Amino acid sequence: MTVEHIVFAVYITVLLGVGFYFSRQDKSLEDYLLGGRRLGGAVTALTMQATSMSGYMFMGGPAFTYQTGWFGLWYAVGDAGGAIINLSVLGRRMRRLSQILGALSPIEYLEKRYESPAIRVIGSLIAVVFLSAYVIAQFIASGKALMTLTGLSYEVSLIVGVGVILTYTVAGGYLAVAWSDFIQGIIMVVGLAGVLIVGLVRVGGLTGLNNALAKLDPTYLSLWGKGLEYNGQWGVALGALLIYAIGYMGLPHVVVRHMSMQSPKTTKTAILWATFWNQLFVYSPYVLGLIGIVMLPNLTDPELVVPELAYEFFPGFFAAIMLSAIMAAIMSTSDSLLMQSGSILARDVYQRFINPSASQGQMVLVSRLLILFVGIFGVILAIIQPPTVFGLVVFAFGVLGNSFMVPYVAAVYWEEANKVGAMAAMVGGALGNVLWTSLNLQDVTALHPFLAGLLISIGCMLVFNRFGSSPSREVIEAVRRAKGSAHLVEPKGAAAHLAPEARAIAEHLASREAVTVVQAGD
Amino acid sequence: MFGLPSATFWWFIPWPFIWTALALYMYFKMKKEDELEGDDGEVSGT
Repeated sequence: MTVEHIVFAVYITVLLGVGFYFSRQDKSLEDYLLGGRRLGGAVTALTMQATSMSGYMFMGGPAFTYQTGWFGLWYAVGDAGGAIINLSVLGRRMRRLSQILGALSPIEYLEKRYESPAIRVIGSLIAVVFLSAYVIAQFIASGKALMTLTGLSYEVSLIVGVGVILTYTVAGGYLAVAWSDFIQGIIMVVGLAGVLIVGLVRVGGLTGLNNALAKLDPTYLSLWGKGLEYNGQWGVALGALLIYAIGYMGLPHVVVRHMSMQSPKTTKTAILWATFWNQLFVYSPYVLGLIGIVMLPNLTDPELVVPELAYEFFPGFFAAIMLSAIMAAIMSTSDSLLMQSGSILARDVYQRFINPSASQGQMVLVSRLLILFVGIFGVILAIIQPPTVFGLVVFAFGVLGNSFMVPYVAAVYWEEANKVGAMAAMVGGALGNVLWTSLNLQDVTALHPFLAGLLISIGCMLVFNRFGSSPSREVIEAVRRAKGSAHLVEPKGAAAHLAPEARAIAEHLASREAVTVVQAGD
Repeated sequence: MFGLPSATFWWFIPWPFIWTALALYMYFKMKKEDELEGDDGEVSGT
């Protein structure tokens, strides 16, 4: 057994230990699905970011810059701010509203906010299909990474890697996932920073790297890709920037982190942690792809550029740390995807439509079995048909983002947002992205599929919302409470001097107005 | 500027500073709101 194998075995043992430790702490369904809503700022930030940054960051992203040059950085600059936008826009309001509505899954949250079981059915369907596609991409990355380390076949590597993920996820539930993500988030930054620093030193810093790229092909340095493939296509560049800048607000396995925070006030600390972590981590894999162009010009599989660079720079102990970092990225995303798929199937399908009277113990058991089922199903598909990691992640991510982002944002910012608008936004966004991708409309329109899906989703929300009735008074009141008291409109002018009497009258008039709106809607 | 064309430099390099500044702004904005709210920001479930 080599030193790489020993380091990796220690890492895997720690993860399994975390799973078994937390398996004894899950006493209720809320504990198992949301960690009892008691995660602090640092853990929230790192579990959110480790979940968001998948195997794509070590394989798909670097491969993309390896093939296109600096154009790939359009994805990185948006990604580096994704957590700030996600936490700032949704964080506190979604945390409050989910608790007011008593929602334990992000799809259940949509049903309760929009008062529509149909939204829960369609939402569950979209979420489970595309979360599964996303998880298959992670499994493929896991197989490739372990194959590089162990020399085992792709299939055996895949089964070993996924076996570990499934064991601690099924055993430990959400708390095990969150805490293992925290550990993995630290390993990811340390591993990647090590390879990046050595890589930059070898190529003479950023200036040396760019000079070397310019000698190979000056268009590597342009905003528009190698050979100016995307020359002037601002719709493509903007879509690439936006997909990871705002797309996280539509991913069920990411927004559930808002729901599990200890308190709405946890958000501000989480923003700082996430920002600090992002600026250290996000740009590195893309720059390593550029370094790969110079140092490894004849790679047959560009998705292996980071593992190959790690072996080039750090044979032995550090290569194992690096490989652990790659596996950390894959596992921290896979566990959350599996957890969400299992939660949605258990809570939003089994308990909602099949066995509403299931006990807490039964539900935890069903959740575990469904996570196991999704995992085994994903392994079989990953073995049968391994597509590229980059393509599959961008597609699944885009469809999820386009389906759910508009309904999640409207849920807490637009009191009048109703079920017809939300359903249209969800279905329109998903179909828009699927059609744009499958018919390759980007080539015709110069518009990124994510940007197209987003515009369609927003348009559907605004148009179709007119055809639905207003939400109930209880929901409108819940949305108002979710804004927080600092956002309540203070009386101005003469009315300010009459407070608190003026405030009482204003509140009374507002409640009467809400009743009138409901009656008009009925 | 790091051997990059000026357009590439100005479109990509400032972003870490922009995001960090935005995060600090949001932190202090939320801190102020949290202080205004006191314990009102906490909610109880239904």
